[in-house]
Amino acid sequence: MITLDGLTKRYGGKTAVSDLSFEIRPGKVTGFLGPNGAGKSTTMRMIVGLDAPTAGRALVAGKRYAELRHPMREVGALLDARAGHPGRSARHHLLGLARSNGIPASRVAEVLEIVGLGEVARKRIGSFSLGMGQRLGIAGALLGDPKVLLFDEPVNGLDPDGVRWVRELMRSLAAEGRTIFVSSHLMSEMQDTADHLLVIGRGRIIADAPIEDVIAGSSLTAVRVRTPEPGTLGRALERAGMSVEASSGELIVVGGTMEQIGDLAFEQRVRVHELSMRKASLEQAYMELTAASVEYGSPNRRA
Amino acid sequence: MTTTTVPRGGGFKGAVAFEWTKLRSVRATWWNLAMGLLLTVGFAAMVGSSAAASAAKGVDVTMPAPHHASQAFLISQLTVVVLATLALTGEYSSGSIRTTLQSVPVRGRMLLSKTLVVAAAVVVAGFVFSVLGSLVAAPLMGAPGDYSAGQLFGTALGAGLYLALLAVMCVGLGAVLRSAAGTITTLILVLLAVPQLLGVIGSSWLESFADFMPGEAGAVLMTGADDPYGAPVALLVLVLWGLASFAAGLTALRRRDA
Repeated sequence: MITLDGLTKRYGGKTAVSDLSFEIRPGKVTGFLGPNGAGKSTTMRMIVGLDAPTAGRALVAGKRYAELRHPMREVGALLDARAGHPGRSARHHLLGLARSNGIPASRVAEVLEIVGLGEVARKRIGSFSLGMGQRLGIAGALLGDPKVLLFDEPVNGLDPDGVRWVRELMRSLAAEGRTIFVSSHLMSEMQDTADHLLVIGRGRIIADAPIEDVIAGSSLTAVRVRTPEPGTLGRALERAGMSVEASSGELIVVGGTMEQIGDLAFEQRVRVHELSMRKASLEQAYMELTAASVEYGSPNRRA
Repeated sequence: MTTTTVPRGGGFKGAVAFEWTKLRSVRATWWNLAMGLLLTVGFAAMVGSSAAASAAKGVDVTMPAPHHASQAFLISQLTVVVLATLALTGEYSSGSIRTTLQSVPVRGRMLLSKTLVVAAAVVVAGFVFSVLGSLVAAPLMGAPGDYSAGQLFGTALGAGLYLALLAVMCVGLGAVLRSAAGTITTLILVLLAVPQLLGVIGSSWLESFADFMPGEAGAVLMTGADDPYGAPVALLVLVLWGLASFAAGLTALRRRDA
């Protein structure tokens, strides 16, 4: 469990993170979304004590990160693919980390196998590709078998196989009851991975809800109705407070469930040939949510 | 290699083990030590044979060989500066400082354990370099370089302590500047350029200030001279330089985001 309490970070006059308060619960993958510069990385860095908050605090299992005797056994974090000295071997990199937190040296070979770097354990980190560096960072995060894991853009540089592996890893870690907090720019990836979403923009929380609710809340989530009498049904739906858009023999209805629409059609004695959900993608829902808070956006941005 | 299977572990001991693992697992450490050895022995041989040449011309060069050979450190100390500086600034240039501080989040614990590990490695290196340098210089110097076992080990101990405290300065300053180039340049100025300049200006106040620069204190410590002050004062001067740098590094590390 991660608790943020009024967490704030200012750099000079610019506020990067503004009064964030929320809890990230165990047993779930919580996705952390927001435009570039929204404060995602800064928030994660404050959780692990790399950056000091200007105000407020971030707690892990009720303690500040620096108060944890064995931080790596409580929190694993992948914040940066450039995690180790390029001249050091992967094995020595992890061995040092293990020693610092009283983790058995035998765990090093274990995590290297888990992330698929077993064969290059003795190779120098400098010779690794971005994807291998990312895997090594994940190995470091898993080293202490922690209950809480933070991943900042974990699929950067990974091939499709690696992306899928990360997704499955996160799902299984969450299923073991761990707290997983992951940021990503890849919406399709989040849609498949996260249970809960935390969306921030300009340092503030825009949404904190289960992923299903975020998608359902989008104006692009609608019901498609095909009927030979669109006029009659359309007027009835509008009277019921839904917004209706007619297009080539079908109606796109926002603001009502399939049940409500079906019942209304029955009352009006209108025949219906098709009634189907048109779900917004997470990307569409996200674009709508953050449209107002893009830091470095292009001017002709459409939701 | 020892296998740590202790379930507790971590803390300060863990931090020291971590720093030692990091120091020994990069080639730069071993390259620097090899270069340091080569330069010390090489320059010791040079000063030894030039003393012999002067003696042949009738110049009085009587001085215990270890004291004479310790001049070699004027050059070879720079390899220690590079080694100690890279141990800290290498973490910034590679980005590994973030991983380090995630595993040892207490800033003072990280800096202290790194400082101790580097200083311990350098004490041993300085001692060994000095003994080997003396043993190479002595036969070249012949009779004017006669020395006792006490002088051999005294100089070696002095060299070890001087270089270790120099390493402490490098780590502290590295934490302030976060850059290898800046730290090494500053140290070269402090060790070589500034004392020269202070001497040139010719103000007596500045000259006595120059006596308390780390290089001068180091020379006193290695040769056991009693001018401008004795070895105990020299050690104190170096300890103060080390403490001041460490304190500056710690303050910077605590105040700034990693």
